[in-house]
Amino acid sequence: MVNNQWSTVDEPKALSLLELNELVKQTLELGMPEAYWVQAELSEVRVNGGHCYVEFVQKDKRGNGLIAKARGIIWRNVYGVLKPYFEQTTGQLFTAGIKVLVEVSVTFHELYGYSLTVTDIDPSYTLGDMARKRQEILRQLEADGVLNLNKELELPLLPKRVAVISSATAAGYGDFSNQLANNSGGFYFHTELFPAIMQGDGVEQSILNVLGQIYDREEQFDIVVIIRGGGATSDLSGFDTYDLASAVAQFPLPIITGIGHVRDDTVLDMVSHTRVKTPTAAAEFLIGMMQLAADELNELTLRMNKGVSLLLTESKERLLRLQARIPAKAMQRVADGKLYLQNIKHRILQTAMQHVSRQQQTLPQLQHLLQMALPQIEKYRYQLMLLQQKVVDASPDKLLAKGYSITLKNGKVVKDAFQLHPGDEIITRLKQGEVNSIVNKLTS
Amino acid sequence: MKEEPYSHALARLQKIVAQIDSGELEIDQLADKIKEANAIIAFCNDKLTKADEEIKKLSAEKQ
Repeated sequence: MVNNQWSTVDEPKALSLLELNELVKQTLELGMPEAYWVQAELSEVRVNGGHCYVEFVQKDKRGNGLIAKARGIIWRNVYGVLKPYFEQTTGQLFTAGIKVLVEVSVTFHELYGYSLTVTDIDPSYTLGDMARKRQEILRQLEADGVLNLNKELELPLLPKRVAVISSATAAGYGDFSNQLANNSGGFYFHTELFPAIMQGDGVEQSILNVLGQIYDREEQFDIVVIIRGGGATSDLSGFDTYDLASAVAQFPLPIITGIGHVRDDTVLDMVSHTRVKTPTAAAEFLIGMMQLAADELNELTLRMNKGVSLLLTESKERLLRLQARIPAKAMQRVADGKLYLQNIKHRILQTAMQHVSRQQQTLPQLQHLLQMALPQIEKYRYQLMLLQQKVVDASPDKLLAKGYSITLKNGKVVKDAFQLHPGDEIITRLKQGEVNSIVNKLTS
Repeated sequence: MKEEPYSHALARLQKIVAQIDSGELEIDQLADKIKEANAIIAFCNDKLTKADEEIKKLSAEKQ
């Protein structure tokens, strides 16, 4: 029954949809005319005709579900200034996934509905958020005990074999390897490029991949260098991931990185062993290490030459000094010898004199003894003379002189005639001479 | 046979120089030690400025 429900007194007013939307629009414009600074996350960024169409979202506390959403627009004139300003300040591409602080005015369009018009942006919020994310990663790495592992590795003495992770096409690697090849110290480097995606989405996976390749050939390299080419600010966000940082921190070779901007390092730069600003600086760092080794070698050589020279000079001087002292020593020896001889001569004389005087002393004594012995000697001499006389008296010479003779047979004296036989040879000794005879006859 | 590591040769050289400095060497030992030191210095200089065996092998593998 179409009619009896309607009374002609009060018909509720009906708006067209357009009228309703226009009402909303007016209410909004009146009620919220100001611009608001709002924090939100970009979930979509699309550029068309110079204008930037975005979608803002807010995720729940756990970061999974969405709890708020709004479309946004950045008109071309604003976007043309905002985008480079934002990217240069943060080193981060204006792209989906980042949290931003933007100034917006709310609009409601009859046809296109609710949207936010972006008029300004505060990059420091995004920076802060990036920094916060990095701090979070660093904190996690520290809890895992790996934060400083790469930094604690000892640098090789000679970083001769270099594994380079860089973009295959960008200029960075070319400059780097040229510098190494033509270094003024004449040092030899062997570099091998491991190409990787250095910006945009594939960064994490690509670098993890080549790190794995280098890891498999660890013993063939001394050091790893990760560099980006020069050029415009690029998207660094791919380098701020936990997995990448963890891999670099735990890598067994020291890693030199030159990725982020100096004022705003990426997490990778923070966990690598050494951080440099540019590919050129990385080359200079490596050359510097070789120069250090060369300098040390030179210093050792100098020290050695000086030390040897000193040693030889000292020895020579010592020798000369000794040589100078020899004549003096020789003279000394001769003088000593002479002195010794003189002493001996003196002592000989002295001893001889003593000896003589000793003998001289005994002489009187002997003389005295002799004196005492004289009477005795006289006595003996007298007795001897008596004996002598007796002997003379006893000798047969007296008898022979008287005319007696001695008869001998075979040398024996014969006193008895009957000892003889006729024919025996006998010798008769007279006072003068001897007579040989033969017995003739015996008479009694 | 593996080449002697640079650090090892360097340590030998440092030891010889220390011996010379301390004066504990006899003159006849000196000649031998100097010869050894010069050999080490030449070896180290080569390491700094030339490709050694391991690198040559690497480059060959890459071909």
